Amino acid sequence: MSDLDPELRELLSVARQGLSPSEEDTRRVKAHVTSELSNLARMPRPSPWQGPALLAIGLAVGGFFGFTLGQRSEALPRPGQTSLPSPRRIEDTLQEQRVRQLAFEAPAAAPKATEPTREPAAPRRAVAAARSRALSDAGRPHASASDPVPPAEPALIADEVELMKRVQRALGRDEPAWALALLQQLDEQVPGGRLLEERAAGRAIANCSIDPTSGQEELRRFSSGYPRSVHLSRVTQVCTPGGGKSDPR
Amino acid sequence: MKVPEVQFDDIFRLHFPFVWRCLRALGVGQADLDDVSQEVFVIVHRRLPDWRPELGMRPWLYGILQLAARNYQRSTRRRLGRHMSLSTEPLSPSPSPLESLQAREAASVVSRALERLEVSRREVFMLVELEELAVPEVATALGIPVNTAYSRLRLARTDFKAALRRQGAP
Repeated sequence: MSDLDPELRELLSVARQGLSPSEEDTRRVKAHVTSELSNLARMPRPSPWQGPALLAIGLAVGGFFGFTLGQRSEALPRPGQTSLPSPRRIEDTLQEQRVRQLAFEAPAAAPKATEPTREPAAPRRAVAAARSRALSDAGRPHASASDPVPPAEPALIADEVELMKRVQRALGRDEPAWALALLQQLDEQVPGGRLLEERAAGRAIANCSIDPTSGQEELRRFSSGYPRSVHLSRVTQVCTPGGGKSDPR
Repeated sequence: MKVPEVQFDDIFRLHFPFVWRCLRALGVGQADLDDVSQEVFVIVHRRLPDWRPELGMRPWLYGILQLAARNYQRSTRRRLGRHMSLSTEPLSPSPSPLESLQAREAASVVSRALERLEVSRREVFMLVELEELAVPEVATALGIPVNTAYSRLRLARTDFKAALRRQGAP
């Protein structure tokens, strides 16, 4: 095998120094990593709202649903629209939340693509807003009656909702590797959970984005697990070759 | 299993320069190195329980950083709609001005030459010649047969010399 000349080796050695990070670079990145790990380890405070927590789940599902379908202007609240305690109320709230989340992710206002670890305050505000709306609806008949979902630990629900939103944002920024890392954290932090279908959809989309050759397998796995999922069309779109991978949002 | 913080700190301390250099060589721009390397180490922290000594630390790290770099390139290409090139921005200052100048020039020359290498050859060349990994380690990191790694290295050395000649470098 043709080896390198001593002059080239010297050049590479010097270049290696030039390509290396400075001490300041090291300190700065270490501080960022430490800060991010602290954020990831932080558990949201337990919520006393059992019923509203279920609505928060609905908001997260709605957000993900909005993510899968894309923005539609008709989702905006119409003038004169009422908020009667009917089954449509939840859907209306979901639409409102979706518009808010899409606003976070609008390309012009979005952070640069490699900013998954610096969570802006906006998502927490969104969760707080969802909780606030949920609290205001707590006395309404539909909020807890006839809901088939069994009771769950509110703190875990809040964790799951928040992490799922981060997954959604990571996918929206076309950062599938980061989305997968967040999903792994979600699986460890909230095993089981209420948003398994959304997790599976997010995982399939992320895997297809990273490795398009796995598209058919990911699609098959998701469609066999959730054949009637509302996310199936989006997963199909991303995981099918030439199916619109250029914009996973 | 909880990862002992000291262990992660050791990994960061020992291998951050490796991650940084590899990300640069894989085309991550100077302005984004902080974010991408941060992402790499957050994933490292999450996946550390999966690491096994027989994998070797740097080959294992390379698998993670390679994924992050590809993700970065994909998203950046989509966002900017242009071809990514290796970073040739000004480097961080070295302690001595003379060393800094030499290192900057050498790094710039080497970066431009590496940029001309086909990606699969560039990876092998960088890991062997710049990072001084053994070829079997590189094969493990890239998931390729050892003989393939040797073959790519041989071709990459030839390409690298040719690229330097085109620059008028030694």
